[in-house]
Amino acid sequence: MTYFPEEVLEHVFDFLSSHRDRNAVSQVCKSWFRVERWSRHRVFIGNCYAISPERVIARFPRVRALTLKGKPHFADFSLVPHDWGGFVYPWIVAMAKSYPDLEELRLKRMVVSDESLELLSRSFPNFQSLVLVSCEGFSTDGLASIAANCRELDLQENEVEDRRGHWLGCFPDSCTSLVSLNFACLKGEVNLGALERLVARCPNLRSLRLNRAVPLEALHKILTRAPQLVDIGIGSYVHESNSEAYVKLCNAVLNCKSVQSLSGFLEVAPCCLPAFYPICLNLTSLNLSYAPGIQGNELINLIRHCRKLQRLWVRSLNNEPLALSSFY
Amino acid sequence: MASSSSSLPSPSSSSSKKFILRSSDGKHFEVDEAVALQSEMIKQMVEDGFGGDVIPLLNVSSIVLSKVIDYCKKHVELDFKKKMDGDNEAHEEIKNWDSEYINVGVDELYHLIMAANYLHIKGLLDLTCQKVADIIKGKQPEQIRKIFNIENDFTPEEEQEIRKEHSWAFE
Repeated sequence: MTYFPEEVLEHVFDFLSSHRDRNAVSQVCKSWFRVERWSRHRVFIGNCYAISPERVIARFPRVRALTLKGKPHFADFSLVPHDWGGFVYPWIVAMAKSYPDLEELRLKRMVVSDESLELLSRSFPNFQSLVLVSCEGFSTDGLASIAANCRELDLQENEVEDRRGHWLGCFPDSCTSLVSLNFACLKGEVNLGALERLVARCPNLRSLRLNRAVPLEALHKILTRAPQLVDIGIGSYVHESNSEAYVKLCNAVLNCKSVQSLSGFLEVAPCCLPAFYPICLNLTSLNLSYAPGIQGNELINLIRHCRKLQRLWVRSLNNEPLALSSFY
Repeated sequence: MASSSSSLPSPSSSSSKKFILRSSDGKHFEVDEAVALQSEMIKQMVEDGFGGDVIPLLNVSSIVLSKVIDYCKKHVELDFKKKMDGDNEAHEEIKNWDSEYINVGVDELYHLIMAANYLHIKGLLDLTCQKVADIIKGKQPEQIRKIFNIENDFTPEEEQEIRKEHSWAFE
């Protein structure tokens, strides 16, 4: 019989990141179960009602990153009653007592109240990353409270009640370590001055996805201040192609040599797309599924410049999003 | 199989101090100071004043020790090269050499892990643990037990309970 000392097992398990592999090793024998339990820092829960927060905490006492899914997939097609549940609040209450080292929370199809976000923002001193996908039940007030200590805020297809546009101003002046910010799904106004200042003081910002309230003029200022961006989501992209603002934008885009992923164009004047041609050669990902304005020849001309593209999303004729992979 | 460090040129072989390591089966190995000090455990012993004549390594057999010394010598040599030639080239060479070195059977891998752990050689411990993890990836619990010859000490009920929780909540 082989016996691995526990400190060695822990070291081995450090190299296992997928939850399937972690589940497999924890079923090997009691000693492996014990070591795995104490060393699992990332937990994935496919259904928030399949297990209680208390049981998760008892099983994995040292979690730093939690992924939690709520409503089933068909909720996307309005096939789930509105009061189905999927509340994150009881999870945050339980974790606030037991997971002081929580750094990352990813939620999908859950009901997230402002109260949850507020509790989240003051319960975890090392908190870094909040990803909300298709969640609901919160407003920009909740976002304002989480802005105080977050390096990554990724909001994908959420229903957010837009109370005030000033939530962006709630990132404190001391916040200079933002890595990723995605608010493309927000419908309301944005404090553009606060956004520009935030971008300017965060040199490590890699991913920025804007909503349709951010116009082309603001995009020019943002790109000038953050030429290091790797992933850009364009908000509103409407202008005359012979205007001064457009010429300035063209110059700013030329400096963005690191961009690999482009998305957005929620509102678009297709005649202005050539501004992005020079950086298309480096793109590996192009998501136009929210850009109904780019079609036909304009779409073809844009894609022609993307010679390294690996993933492309477009809208099909019946308006369904389509993902195409690695066609070069 | 007493051996010396003459086969591989070491950057400081002529001038540096030598250590003699004694394996659990009583064989002696003479190595350069830089090679011996790759082991944090030996380093600590030396600092505590035990490095005088022969350093006894009670938990490492001569077969395993000789393989461990190969690793330490190569890494002293490559670290030296890294300083001289710059990072990139040396990095590639280390990677290739390591992957060749660790291409061993499970028994030998196990003994190397135990030795790296006992001697506190971080690089070798990382390399061997990564190899074990690579073997485990994608396998079922039963396959893992078989490969590493591990006894299943769960009762059928306990095992069933864990499996149920995994498939219900954690997959």
